[in-house]
Amino acid sequence: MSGSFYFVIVGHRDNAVFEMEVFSCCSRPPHVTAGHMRFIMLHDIRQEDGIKNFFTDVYDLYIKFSMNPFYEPNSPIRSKKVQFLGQKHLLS
Amino acid sequence: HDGPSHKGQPAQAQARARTSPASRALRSWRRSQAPRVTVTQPEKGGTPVGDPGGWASAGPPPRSFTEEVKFELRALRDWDFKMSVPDYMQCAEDHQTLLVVVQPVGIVSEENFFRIYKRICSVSQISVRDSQRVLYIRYRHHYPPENNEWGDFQTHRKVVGLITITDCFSAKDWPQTFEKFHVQKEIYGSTLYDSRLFVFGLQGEIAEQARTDVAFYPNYEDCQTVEKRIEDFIESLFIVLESKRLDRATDKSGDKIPLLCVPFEKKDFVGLDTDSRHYKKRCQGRMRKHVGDLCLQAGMLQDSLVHYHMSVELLRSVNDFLWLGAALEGLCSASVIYHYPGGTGGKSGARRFQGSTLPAEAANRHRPGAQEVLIDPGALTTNGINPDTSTEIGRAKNCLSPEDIIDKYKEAISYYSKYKNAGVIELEACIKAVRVLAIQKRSMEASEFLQNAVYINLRQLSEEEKIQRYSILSELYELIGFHRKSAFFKRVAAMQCVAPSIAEPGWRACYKLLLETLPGYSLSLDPKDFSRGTHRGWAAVQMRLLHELVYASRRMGNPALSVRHLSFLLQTMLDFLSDQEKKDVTQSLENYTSKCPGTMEPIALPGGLILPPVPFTKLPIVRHVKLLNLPASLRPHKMKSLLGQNMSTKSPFIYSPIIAHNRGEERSKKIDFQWVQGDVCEVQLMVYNPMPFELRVENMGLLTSGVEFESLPAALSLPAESGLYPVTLVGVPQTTGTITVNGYHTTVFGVFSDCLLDNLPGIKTSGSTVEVIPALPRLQISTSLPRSAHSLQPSSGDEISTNVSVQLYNGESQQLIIKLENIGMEPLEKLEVTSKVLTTKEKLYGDFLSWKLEETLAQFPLQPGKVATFTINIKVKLDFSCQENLLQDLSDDGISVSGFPLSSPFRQVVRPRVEGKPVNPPESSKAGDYSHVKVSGFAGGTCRATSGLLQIYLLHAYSQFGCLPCTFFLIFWQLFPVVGLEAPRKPRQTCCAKRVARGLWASTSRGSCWLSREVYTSAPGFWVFSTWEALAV
Repeated sequence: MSGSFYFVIVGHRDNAVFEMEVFSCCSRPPHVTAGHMRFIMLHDIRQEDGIKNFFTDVYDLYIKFSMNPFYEPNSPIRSKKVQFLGQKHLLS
Repeated sequence: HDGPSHKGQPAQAQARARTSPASRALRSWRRSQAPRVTVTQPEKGGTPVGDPGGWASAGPPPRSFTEEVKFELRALRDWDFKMSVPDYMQCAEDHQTLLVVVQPVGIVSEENFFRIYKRICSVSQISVRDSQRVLYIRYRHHYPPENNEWGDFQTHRKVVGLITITDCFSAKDWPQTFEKFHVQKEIYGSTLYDSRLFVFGLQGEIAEQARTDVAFYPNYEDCQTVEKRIEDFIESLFIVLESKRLDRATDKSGDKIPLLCVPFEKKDFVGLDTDSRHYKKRCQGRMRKHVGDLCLQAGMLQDSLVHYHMSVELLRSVNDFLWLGAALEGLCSASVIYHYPGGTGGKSGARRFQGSTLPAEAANRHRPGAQEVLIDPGALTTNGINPDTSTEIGRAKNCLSPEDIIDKYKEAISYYSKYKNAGVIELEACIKAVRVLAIQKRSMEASEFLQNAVYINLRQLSEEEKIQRYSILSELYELIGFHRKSAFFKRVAAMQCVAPSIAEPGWRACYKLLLETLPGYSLSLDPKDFSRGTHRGWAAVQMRLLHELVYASRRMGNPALSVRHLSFLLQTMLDFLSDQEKKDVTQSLENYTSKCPGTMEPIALPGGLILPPVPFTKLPIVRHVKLLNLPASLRPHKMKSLLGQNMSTKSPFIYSPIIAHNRGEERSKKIDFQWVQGDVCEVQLMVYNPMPFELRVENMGLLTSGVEFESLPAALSLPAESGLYPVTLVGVPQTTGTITVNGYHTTVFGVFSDCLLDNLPGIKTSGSTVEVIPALPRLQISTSLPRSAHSLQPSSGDEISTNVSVQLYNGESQQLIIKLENIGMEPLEKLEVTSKVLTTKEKLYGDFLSWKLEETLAQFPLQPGKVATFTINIKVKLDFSCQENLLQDLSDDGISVSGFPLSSPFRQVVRPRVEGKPVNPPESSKAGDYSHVKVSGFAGGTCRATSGLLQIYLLHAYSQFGCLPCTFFLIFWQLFPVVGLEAPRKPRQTCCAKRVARGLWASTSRGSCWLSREVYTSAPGFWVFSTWEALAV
């Protein structure tokens, strides 16, 4: 089962902090973190569990990242790990 | 997003491509709203619309030829019956208005027509006689007659009044004019209650006759009674309306209620059984709904609510969905009017209440306490024009709550959507619902309605209608606070303006609309907004938009605008551009600027918007700005006395925290050195090039204020992605005062930029304000002596302009001739010379150097270009007697093979005549070994100093030692109690000292040791000294 996924983390200033096109759409209600960062996923196939797990894991990752004292909130993030998580949860 | 190609079209394609998922979602919403029923009205795919996800499934395409002809005929007919022109400005309150069309007949100038039209429009509401009922009028100067056909369906769509305006100057034209008026009446004839003709220009007996339907005015100025005539006209309309209402409302016998139809239904009811219960109910329901409409128009809100309720029940039972929808919508409209007397239509609502003040109007509406009785209103209002008594009864029960209004709207829309021909009705209902929701501040639900409206396919719209449609959608999204969505539709509208199918693309309109989208994408055209903090908004979309602006402005034939937008793109989006994009953007920027160079002038747009200039502060990026001091020889020095005064005026205290604080603030901007008028001054910038290619910066110079400054621009070429690169910008101050370096200017890719330091983020500057003092003379010195082979740098950093050396035997003397040349522009007035021995043991040397200043001063003042000479006598005569440490010190200061270096700085000082103060002591004794310092001064108390270094090598008569007579030793022995032991050597012991002397141990009776460090000899005939130091053993 494979579909198209577009994942983005939106920062406080309506800026894209992290963007990822997992693979080639309807939107899912965004996941909003406690700090009001928005995780938005656009996808064209139904895969609630995968997306839920993906969000949880990415959130985990984001929390770790944001605790890095050198990370300035809202600045762009680059991560290969999210890609990996996408492969794991969304494409499998 | 597909790169920086300037394509204007794809937006529309995007809009279309996205229809499918959303329409799917919407259909599911509709399914949930509408009960599943079989539609009695035949569904037709008659209109040539190509919506992939259309609402109604079209039947299978006809096969045979005859069928096809029939199909086409029917399609043609449907086309006629279908209301095709939506009124995007409709709002719920429009249901209570009477539609009056105002039109010109014959040739009436637009200006005159609209002058009268405006006056007519001012009469938009009338209180009817003594009653509390208010009549609202909606005026149109254009109304498609096919929309009029739907007047039975919703009476506010019916043209009930016609006012024609005409010019008529002679009596013989009059019959013709009157005929035209009748022709005009025919167009809306079936629905008109009354009509009026306003004739302008006609005088004479025709004009004197008193007619109700015609009003004569001599000209467009002299027509004070227009408003009065309109009021009368409206009252006459009201009487017809009221009579119709009463007629229909009391018609309760039920024996022959006519069936009201919408245009496309008419043919479907041919030959239907008119006696069936089903048919009768349908007639009743539709009639009730119609009466409700009339009541609403006649200002009887509560009556209308009751009628609508009844109608809904009747129609629901017979599954007459189109009319059920209309009844529900009527119910909603009446409730909206009740709940929101201020109106939902925004501007149009405000216009409606022009003239009469809204609060007063609202207060007039009598709202007594609720009496929850549902009564049949027909019985109550049968006799004459009564006040709307129904307001007092049954209010709470009949009126929908704000939540119910939305539910009912949803239901109504889902019914409408079953009929392809009711597209306009559906669309307008959606828009009305959105306006209501916007007032209720329920944005999410409003967006659902709007989404629905987006995908309602009318017929093939003309390009102009499409533009209008998208603009309205954009406005509605703005209304509910969906700024980005609003911007999206505005952009689609902009793209529509230049669609390839349009013969004459409206680039100007496209550009204007694109500009309006900017706030929605959080993009402002002021580069200052981008200098602080993180980037706002979605850069990819913003870049796209900017590219479109560039393209549109180019097609508009305004290259200056293109350049401005492209520079803005490059400046603000630099971080988001890929290397290839950077190249492409700069390439096209260079293309544009070759025709029209970018300037720093703000560009004013016709709409009043001003595009601020875009300085390229990132091309190159400047990290550090430092003002450089003048080179040492040109540096001005303050006179000591003045300096002292300055210090004393500042504060009597050596240290005061307050003053320290103040000075700290001053210092933050002000730098403690000075620049000199007329001399080249330098500012060093550390720059780097962020581009992936070589950056050519031309015409880079300083921007200053406070002093007239001649900037000498530089051109530089920075390698690709260079590291920090020092650049020195120079200029000459032309006047005196305090100069502030505000920034720098550059020309990059043909764009001039003035970059102010204040606006640069992350820049390090060590102050930017410097005092410029009046011009000072410049002096060049040259000497008769050869330059020294190896120069010694004085320890304290003063620069030495000349460095000469001379070798002399002790006792020898020589003349040093110094040529002083005035190479500056100012005459040299005074000269002062001081010398200074660099070593600390100055006192030991005595007068090495002597000079006579008078001869030189006789040549002063020295005019520019003139040369004066100055002679110094060098006489080396060292007296080594009684100076125990002399040799030691000399050797410490510097050693050469052949002798001792000898240092003796002195300085020359030129002093201003006015001062008349004694020669400066060599207070700034930082000068070199031998320095001559010349200082030229002015009233400001500053002067210039030049120092030179003279190294004097003192030669021994013998260059070799080893033949010292031993008698000296004997003497020595006698002088000191010496034990013949080898002393530990000092590392710096020199070869000559080694040969001459040995360390000596001396021990005292008390057991302490004496260590002899070194014994030197300097010249034949001199004594040998030894230095003793006590060592604790």
